[in-house]
Amino acid sequence: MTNEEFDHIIHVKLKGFSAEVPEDVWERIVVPTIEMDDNSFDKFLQDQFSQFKAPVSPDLFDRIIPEEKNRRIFFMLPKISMVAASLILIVLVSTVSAFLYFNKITLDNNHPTNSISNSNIVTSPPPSNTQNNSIEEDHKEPNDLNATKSIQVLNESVEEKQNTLILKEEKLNNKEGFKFRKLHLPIASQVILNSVNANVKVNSNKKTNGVSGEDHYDTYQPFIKLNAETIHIDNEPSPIQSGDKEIDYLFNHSRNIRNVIICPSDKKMRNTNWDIEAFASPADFTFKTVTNNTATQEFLNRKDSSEKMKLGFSAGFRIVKPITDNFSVKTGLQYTQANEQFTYRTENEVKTTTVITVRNITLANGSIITVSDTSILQQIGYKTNSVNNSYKTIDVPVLLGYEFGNEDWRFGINTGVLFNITTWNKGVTLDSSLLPQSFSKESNLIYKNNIGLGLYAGFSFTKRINYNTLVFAEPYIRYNLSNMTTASSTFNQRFTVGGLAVGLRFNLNNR
Amino acid sequence: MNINKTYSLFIITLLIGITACKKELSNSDRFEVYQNNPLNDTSWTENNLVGSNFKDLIFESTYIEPFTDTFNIDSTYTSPLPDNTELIFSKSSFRNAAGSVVNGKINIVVHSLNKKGDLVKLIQSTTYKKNIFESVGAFYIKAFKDNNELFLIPDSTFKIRFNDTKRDKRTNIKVCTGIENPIPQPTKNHHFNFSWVESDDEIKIKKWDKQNATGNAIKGYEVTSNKLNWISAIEPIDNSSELEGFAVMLPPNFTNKNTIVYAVLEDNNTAVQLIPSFNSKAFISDHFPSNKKVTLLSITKIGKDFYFGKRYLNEIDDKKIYKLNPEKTTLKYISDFLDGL
Repeated sequence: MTNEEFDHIIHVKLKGFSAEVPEDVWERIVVPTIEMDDNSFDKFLQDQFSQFKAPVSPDLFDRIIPEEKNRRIFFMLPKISMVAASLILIVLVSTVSAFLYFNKITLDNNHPTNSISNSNIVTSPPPSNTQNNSIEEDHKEPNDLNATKSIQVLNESVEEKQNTLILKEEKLNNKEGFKFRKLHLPIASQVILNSVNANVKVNSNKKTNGVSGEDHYDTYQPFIKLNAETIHIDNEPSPIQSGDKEIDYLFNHSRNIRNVIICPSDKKMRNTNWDIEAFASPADFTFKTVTNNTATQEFLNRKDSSEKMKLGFSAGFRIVKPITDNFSVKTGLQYTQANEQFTYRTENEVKTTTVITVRNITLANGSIITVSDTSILQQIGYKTNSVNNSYKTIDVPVLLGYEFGNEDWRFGINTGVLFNITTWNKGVTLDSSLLPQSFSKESNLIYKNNIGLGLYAGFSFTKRINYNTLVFAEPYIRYNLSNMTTASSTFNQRFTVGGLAVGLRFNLNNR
Repeated sequence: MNINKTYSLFIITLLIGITACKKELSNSDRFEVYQNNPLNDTSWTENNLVGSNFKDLIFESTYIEPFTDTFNIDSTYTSPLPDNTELIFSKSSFRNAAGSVVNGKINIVVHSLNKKGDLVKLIQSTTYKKNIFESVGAFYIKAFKDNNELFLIPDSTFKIRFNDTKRDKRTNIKVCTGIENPIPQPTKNHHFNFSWVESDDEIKIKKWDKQNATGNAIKGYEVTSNKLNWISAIEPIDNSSELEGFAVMLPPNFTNKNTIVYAVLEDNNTAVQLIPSFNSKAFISDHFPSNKKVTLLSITKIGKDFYFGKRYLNEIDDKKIYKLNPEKTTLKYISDFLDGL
């Protein structure tokens, strides 16, 4: 069923119906924005229903609701079960994530019977020549959309339909993890405000057809805008001509309500969002693992006593592609720097200091001469040199994320792999003769230039701060699978990094 | 991109920058002094006299090997010393510590301090009763038999003849002997810690003339003495020149524990050791001729390292305070410099 068909149903249904509407009913109606990146939904509906007609089970939505509840059971399992599930997820994610990312999830086109469902609406597929979505209905019977369309509306009240729609809207909102607020709506709020307390009455005596196109545009334009942002209906003049402003309001609201109806198949299609995360971990804890290769025990002891890991940091960004309401794939680029303090001692160092001395010199004749002298004081001792070694990596994370929670707070797990792009190190370490030896990106025989793969696991806590922006904190750990030292090095060394990444997530679709 | 996004991205970028800068620790060095290294000892000893241990320390380094000779004392013997110097011993003129006359072969050891550099090397000063004099000839003479020190028998004398190119200009030559202090113990079998005193009438000096092997005339003095050890011929510096006190300062590392300071006159065979002053932390000369060219020298030994400082002055002017900045050098450099004075 196309949007226009639905509009027509509502229009026709309300034409002959009059009902008292409570004053606060419109306040309870909020209009969501369904973001669609393309016209695939419309095309899909058109393609599927051009030749197909199928009844919809009246209790379809009732059967869907328990499914959502069942899915939440996974996170209400005992902790041990959650840990086991998490471990399984971690094991699987490294292989699945790359596949999922590079093989875009395709829409389920094999189940057309799930594409449209409404307990109160039975639709018949439009003819194949309705690709322009035009509706001619002014002088025809209410249930005749055109010569090839037939839409039957069951005999139910408008209020009941509105309540059903609001209920479905609430479901949708919960699934998207997004709390609809009037201030957040991209639609001109004036339209909504004007709709509040509107006394909706259908006067069957009024002329409901033959209204000029200009009058129609006065009231219909905002929703054309809405459609352009959401389901990409071009700003073409609609053939629907009501002319009656009250009808127009009602019609408009019906279109407004129409947009929040999410068919079961649409649930799979609506995650067309792209998010970007920018994050930084200002205090990374790096744990070093050193094993012996060909080094002496004295060397390892000296190395252990002279090297001390310091706080490092990470920063980067990730592109987030939601797969479903809970799952998402993330990839991007991140920079990590581990810091290490290398301390060594050099003997017989001479330190020179400029000093000013004041002396009172008494000569033989008893005269005292005060002399202020600037001279050099030399001191000998040992110098403890502290050099900051830095180990820098640039990686591409490929992560699979799972999130759950409410509109404001969400919790999630991100696991996956880090593909190292490059690694470069700089600093001083001990050589085999226990003397300080510098290493750098240019002269480095100890460390690799690429440390290969690393495993990543993090737990995220996300808080929405405005319509498009979320702030998150993610304690994480990174475990490198291979040594950072070369095969010729006398010792093997690898880092495991843990930290707390904080950052912002932006929606790239400007919802 | 709306303003909120821009603002947020700016904050993130700033955060990243701050955290990055914070983690880029700079390299640092921590210096700890050796507690017992002498270079770090900048204190002065209250004993303003140059410490005996330090004198020995310098002396061991600048020690000049003496002239030695072995001869038979059963007859009169003339020992040919360098620089046309002669040492004459009479027959059977030595006794041992027990008083017995010694015969047969004996050994003599002679230090000849004819040059200013020799005086500095052996840490001698040409001062007498706080007066500055010029050394005409200074000698240190010891005799041994079987490593036992010998002494002159009573009423016996020896003669030493030495060259003096300025003999015709001298008018007030005197003979001094060195009175050794009981402390310290001798170094290399010699005592160098002594004070010059004017000799009595028993030690006589007279002019000496000789023609050497090449036919050149040698003008000098002959000293006849009944005492071994230190003996010298001196002439006081012209007292008509005004005497001034002055002081020499050095950096804090150079104290009276490790440094000696000399003022050497250019036109006289005079090397005056300046006295360290604990209160002034300087080296002072109470009386010094103000109208003469002078070279200030400092020799320092800290640990195994030598430091040498020098400064040329046309005269001691009214500033009266001079500063030396010793530099680390080698003992050979110091020795060569002193030989060229």
